[in-house]
Parts: sequence; C-alpha cells; structure tokens
Amino acid sequence: MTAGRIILRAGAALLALCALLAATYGAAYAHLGALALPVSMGIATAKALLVMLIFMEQNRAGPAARFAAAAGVVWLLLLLGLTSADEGTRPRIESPEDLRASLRQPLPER
Amino acid sequence: MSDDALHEPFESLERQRNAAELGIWAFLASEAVFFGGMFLGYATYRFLYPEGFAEAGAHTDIFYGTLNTALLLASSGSMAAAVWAGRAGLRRMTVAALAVTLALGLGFLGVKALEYAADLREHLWPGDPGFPVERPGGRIFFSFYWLMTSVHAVHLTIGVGAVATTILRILLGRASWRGSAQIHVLGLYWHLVDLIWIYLYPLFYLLGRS
Repeated sequence: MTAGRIILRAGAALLALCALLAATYGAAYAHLGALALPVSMGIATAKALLVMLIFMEQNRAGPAARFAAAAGVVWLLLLLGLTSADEGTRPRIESPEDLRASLRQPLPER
Repeated sequence: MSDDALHEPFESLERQRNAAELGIWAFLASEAVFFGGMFLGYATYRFLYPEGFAEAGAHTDIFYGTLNTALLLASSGSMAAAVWAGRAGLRRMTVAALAVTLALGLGFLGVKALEYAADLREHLWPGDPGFPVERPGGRIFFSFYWLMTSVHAVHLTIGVGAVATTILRILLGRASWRGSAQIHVLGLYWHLVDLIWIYLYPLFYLLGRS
C-alpha cells in the first residue's frame, strides 16, 4: 500500500466512525423512550464492527486467532446471557412485605 | 526481510507472526470477559434502578466524553495507518503515525484528568456527603463510572507507554518493525482499548439527556 492509499483508507474509516459518533450524540437528545438504549447500543456495535473489520483486520486473521476471538465472544455471551436470564426472571424482594407477598402466591397448577 | 526479526523457538517469520497473533487474540478475549463482568454489573443495576441511573447519567460531562471518544477513534485510525505503513516498509510514516497515536492517547488522558477534576468539584464521588443524586441507584451508577473509566484509563496508559517505547526502539534501530508482528500486536491492543470505550461512551454519557 502506498502512503496516499493508507491515509485515504484510515481517513475514510475515521470519517464513517465520526458520522456514527454524531448520530449517537444526536439520538441521545431525541425523545426515543424505550428505544434509546437499543439505538445507542446498535450504533456502538456498528462502530465496533468498523474497528474490528477495518482497523483490527479480523477478516484477515488466521484460523487460530479467529478461534481465540470467537471463544471470547462465546464466553462473553454465556456470562451476559445466563446472568440476565436469572436476574430477569427473579421476583423482586426488597422488603419483608415483598417476601410475604411472594410466599402467598399460589403454586402454578400442574 | 532481515533475519534479526526472527527469534527462538520459531523456524520462520510466518510462524512467529501467527503465534504472536494467536497470543494477542487470546489475551484480548480474556480482556473482553474481564470488562464483560463490569458491563454485566452495570447492566444488572441499571435494570434494578432505571430512574436512579438516568438521573445520575445526566450529571456526567457529555462534552468531555464526546471529545474523548473522537480523540480515541482518531488514535485508532492513526494506529491502523502505522500498522499498514510498517507492512509497506515506510519507516518515516510508521514513526509519524505512531507519534500521532501517542499524542492523541496523551490528549485523551489529559481530557480525562480535567473531567475527573470537574466531577470531584461537583461532588460526583459516590461517598461524597454532597452527592447530588438522591434517588437510589445514583451512587451505584457513579461507582461503576469511576471503576470502569479508571480501569480503562489504566489500560490506555499502558498502551501509551508501549507506543512510546516502540517509537524509541524504531528510532534507535532496535525494533524489527518490518518483518515481525510487533506493531500489529501493539495495534490490536490499542484498538481493543478503543472498542471498550466505544461501549462505555453511550452507557455513561448518553443517558437521561432527552
């Protein structure tokens, strides 16, 4: 790659990243309600993909390096997935009244 | 390519490069899980205290946060340029791109220091008696803010030191910057630090603004 091409390639990727940064900054002030978090996380993931594919050249990495990266993603998903499943399905017990109420609930019919 | 880039126990530069690449990706995967635990803690408490997190989130400084995001994204661009220039054998451009990366990294740390000072003036330390957020969860938000941004800053400081050392070694003719994976591995570490910030930015600076 020549010096000109290097600057062009890094500059184009950087321009795209800055456009996404402007988009996520603007979206933070829009009244998106429940969509605000998925939108900001979606834009962050788009930025992360640009960095991983263009800057980190993950698509050019050898099979062993890809395997190591994939293992990291799998462990991360297990960590996030199992904990959120547990936390999301637990009854909220913050006071003795909550505990009494949860104990008084009838058992599900079999 | 000169043979001085090749080290024991490797028989060829290609094998040495593959081993270095595997090593850094295994390290990056462990880093992802390390930060993942903190992101998970943040997500759990945000789920439990959504109002407290939204109110506390509005107290972080969005100007400093956005400026630092731009600085870090730009530093990733210059780091990638250094890796590509090294591969193309452009010594001066490699050093120049690494120097730009170093300057942007130092700029990030400088802005972060200004931001921390402003946060302390506004009593945003979770144990401060004048802490401005009354709702439950507000202090937990700032515990995660201080923990995660400071651990990130430690990683960036290590990166800044490694980039400075690499520049010095290239200038002194001690780094085998062309044939080995040295700059590529350094670049991968730098980009990971950037990736973590890409997620920290919306979680700490973009809440409770609308």
